[in-house]
Amino acid sequence: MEYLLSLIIGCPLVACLFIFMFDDSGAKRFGRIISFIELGLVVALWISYRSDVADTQFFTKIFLIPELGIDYIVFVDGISLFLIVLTAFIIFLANIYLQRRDDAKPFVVCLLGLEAILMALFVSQNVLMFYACWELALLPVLYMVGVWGSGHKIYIGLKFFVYTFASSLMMLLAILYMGYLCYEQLGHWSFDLGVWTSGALSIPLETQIWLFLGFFVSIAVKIPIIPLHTWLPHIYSEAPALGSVMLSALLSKMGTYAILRFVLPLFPDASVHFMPIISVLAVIMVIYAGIIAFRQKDIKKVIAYSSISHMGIVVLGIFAFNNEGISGAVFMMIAHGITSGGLFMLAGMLYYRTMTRHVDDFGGVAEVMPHYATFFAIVMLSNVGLPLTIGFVGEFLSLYGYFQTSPIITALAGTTLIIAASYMLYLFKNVFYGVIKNTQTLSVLKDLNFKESFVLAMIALVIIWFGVFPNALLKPMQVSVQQLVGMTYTLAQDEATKAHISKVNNGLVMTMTKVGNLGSKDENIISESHTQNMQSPLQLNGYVKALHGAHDSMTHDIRE
Amino acid sequence: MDTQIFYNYLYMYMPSAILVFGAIIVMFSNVFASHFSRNTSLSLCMIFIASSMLFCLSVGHINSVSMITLSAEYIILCASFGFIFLTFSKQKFIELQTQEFYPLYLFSIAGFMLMVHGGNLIVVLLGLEIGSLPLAAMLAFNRRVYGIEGSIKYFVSSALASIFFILGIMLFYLYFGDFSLQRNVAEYKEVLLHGYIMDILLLLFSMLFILAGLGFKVSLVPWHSWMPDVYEASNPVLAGYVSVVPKIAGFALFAMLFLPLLQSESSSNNYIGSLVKVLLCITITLPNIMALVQKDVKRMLAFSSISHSGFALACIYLGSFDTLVLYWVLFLITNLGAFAMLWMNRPIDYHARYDYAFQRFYGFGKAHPIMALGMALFMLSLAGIPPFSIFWGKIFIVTSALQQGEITLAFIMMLNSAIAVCYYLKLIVAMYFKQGGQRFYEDNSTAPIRFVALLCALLCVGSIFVVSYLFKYIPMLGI
Repeated sequence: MEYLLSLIIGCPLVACLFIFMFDDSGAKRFGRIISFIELGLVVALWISYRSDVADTQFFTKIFLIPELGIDYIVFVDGISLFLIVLTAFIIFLANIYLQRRDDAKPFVVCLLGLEAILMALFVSQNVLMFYACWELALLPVLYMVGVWGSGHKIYIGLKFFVYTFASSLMMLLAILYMGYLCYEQLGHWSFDLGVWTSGALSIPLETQIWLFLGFFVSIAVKIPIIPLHTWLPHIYSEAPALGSVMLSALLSKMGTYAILRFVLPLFPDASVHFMPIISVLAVIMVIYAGIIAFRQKDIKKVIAYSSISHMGIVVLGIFAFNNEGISGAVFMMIAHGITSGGLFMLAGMLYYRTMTRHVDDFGGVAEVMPHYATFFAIVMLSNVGLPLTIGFVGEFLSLYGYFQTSPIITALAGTTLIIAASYMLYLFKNVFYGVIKNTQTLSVLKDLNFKESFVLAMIALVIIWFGVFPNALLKPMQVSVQQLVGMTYTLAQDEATKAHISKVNNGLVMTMTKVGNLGSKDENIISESHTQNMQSPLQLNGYVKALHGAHDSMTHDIRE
Repeated sequence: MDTQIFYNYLYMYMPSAILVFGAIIVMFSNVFASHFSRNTSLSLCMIFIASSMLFCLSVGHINSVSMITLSAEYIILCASFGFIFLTFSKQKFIELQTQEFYPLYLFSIAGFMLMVHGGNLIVVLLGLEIGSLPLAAMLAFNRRVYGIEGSIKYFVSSALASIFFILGIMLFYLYFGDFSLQRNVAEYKEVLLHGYIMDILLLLFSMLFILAGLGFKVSLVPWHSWMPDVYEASNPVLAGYVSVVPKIAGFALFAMLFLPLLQSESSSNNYIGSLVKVLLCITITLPNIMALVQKDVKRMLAFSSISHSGFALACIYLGSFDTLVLYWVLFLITNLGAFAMLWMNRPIDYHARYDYAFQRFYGFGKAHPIMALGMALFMLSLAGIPPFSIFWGKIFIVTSALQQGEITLAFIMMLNSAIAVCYYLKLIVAMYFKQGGQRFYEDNSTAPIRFVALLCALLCVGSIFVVSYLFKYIPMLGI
């Protein structure tokens, strides 16, 4: 079991090498089998993940260049676990959905390669390994867009690549500077996140601000946060259906994951320092992108802007700095991955049949494709954030978490429920109801075939299942989220930062004991004491159970 | 001369002597052979390069030369071996059917080997000339217009560089009355760093002239204009050789001359230091912008290699030759691979303006999937996409820049990596995303070429292991 994570990374990677032996249909079948095996491995990981343990689990370390602290280190915790599950799930569905008859081989290679890269990204504890995956993940997507895209695909693909690559070089600079700080303060180079967050490093506020900006520019392009989003609408709409699915469901999660994993614990003071600006940007994302989505005539562009709009909520949830906000944000990441992935697949199915994405060309589709319309409605409602769907829980928790910081901003961001409802329902009305305008193409539309029904049924099942039982996700991530908040609190140097984090958590922060110049994270001793309200230290399990209880009652409330 | 000194010199210069001896053997074997056989000459060449390499590995040699010399020698010999290995091609080329090519190749290597010893400036000059002059002849062997043009350009600019270099040496002699570098290094460091400007003018000018002369060899920016034309003039094998071997020789000498000045604590009047910094910033940036507008892959690679020279110069500026060695090994692997890929495709139409125009690669990904994949890999490596080879080199340079507190420099290097990725992607875009069916190239690949390309590709992908292996032998590596 120790090497399960390495197996998860290696399985699709090795499979890529063998695809060249097959012909196109064989490659498709092979891709399905491999992604199914991968999904099985990931489910095994989920089952054997112990959600009540605070340590990192499945920790593996292989030394590569010990002098520079460049090693292969993998681990999993409650936050990355579900992103891994999401990746395996979406790639599996994408492999099933893959319709291409010719040149399917490179497409399967792209999908499996991307899967391996993303898995490595989500489990790596070495920051340079993370960075390598961060850059490599661009290549399969660039290939998908450049070869199978539509419109000005080359220009758009290159814009995407150069934009993201250039910005992530700033992150690389910041990473290297962190390594250098390690060398300066601890006497050895290290790119191990465990060492960076062990508390042995002290980063002055001014440096923190610069490093924060370095990381944040790169992340902001990836998510994307609004002034840096200009590459996104084009590529989301011109990419092939599965390319858009990969971009919106998986690649945008890399950014938010990086904030959680690196930015918050490493630069707590700077994060709190920039929190007001970022929150305002997030609200602008929510409202502005929502309004733009309303005016779009291209179905995929509507979904693209809706995707930006929802990522705003995730960012807001993260910068709430409390358990509710961050677990909400993680939940929302999963929810958004499934929902927007589903929407792009649905849009792709329509495009595949009619070769048009323009809303005005459609009308009355529900008459000829009733099953398709039903599935579209379910996924759409989840995107709108209807209670009992997966979209609601994340949005609610993120906003609930941010309410502790600023009710006004939360209220503004809360308009997402209205805006999203208006543009999605407007889209739904125009496409599915009314009279059939374009009779010769639309009246002969075929309803879903078996593969498409299977994919959509899976998505609908997940949407409703986790909408009704959100605790299946929320419980396992609870300890890790608390640990993250505790780490952010402990590593903060500024009293104002500590006060802020303590305030938004109602004083319930689990602090970590700072360890000196020690190696990996598993040597950290988690001790908890309630910083303000309660003086007496409690047992970890008791504390976690108490919080679980609180959470249960909270989610209970939501259901009611 | 007592025996100790004799043996010392013997061990020191034996590798060059082996190569010169080999060149003479190859020449005579061709004179007396009934008909010219390319493969025989080639095999002889490789045998002599390999035996020279073996001698370099001997304890006697290692003990008698400095670390800088030794690492430069290894790189020179490995690169020459790799590039001459590529000449086992399927098609016949005029230049490779010329008998003089092989002895000249060996002479050129011998010259650069001599140059990197750097003990006595006269010997250095000798090495420089022996190394460069054969190249001018080799460039012209293909008897094409561009070949002759490139050759004349190279000859003229290299003659100019030599004049600068000689002038520098002359002023050096005027100041010290001695040609030896080692004997005077402490003194000129002291004088240049702390002397009053009017007193050190002579020495400063000597250094400037030597800098200019070497700048030609390593193609720093104001003196880089011969590089693209030489690339265009020569076949990929020779272009690859020019991009790697003369430059590392130049950099080794550069390091010997200027490292003492740059490594020391910065003083107020470190003129050479500031000059080198300006030079390297221009050298990194300008060719990157020029490369964006090129229409030919080889010209693009030429400008990219000038930019890589800038990165290598940055290593020297930051005071660590070890990082340079690492960078250059990684660059060698990638460049060797990239040129091997180009070499596998012989243009059918030799009279077009460009041999390897981007337009000729349209649809290449469909027609030759594996070759295109390899080419894409090497382009991505050159662009510094992790985890492929050059990425690690850049990491080391940037870390040492951060260590020295040169954050602006680190920033400039990062910015240039971002620019660089644009033009490297142009080839990938042409190969995979553009449509085209016309055949412009005939197959030139043989088992040895494919082997070299495969080896380079593997080393490129697993370059993290190459780096960790090199770490064992270059103990401090700038850290």
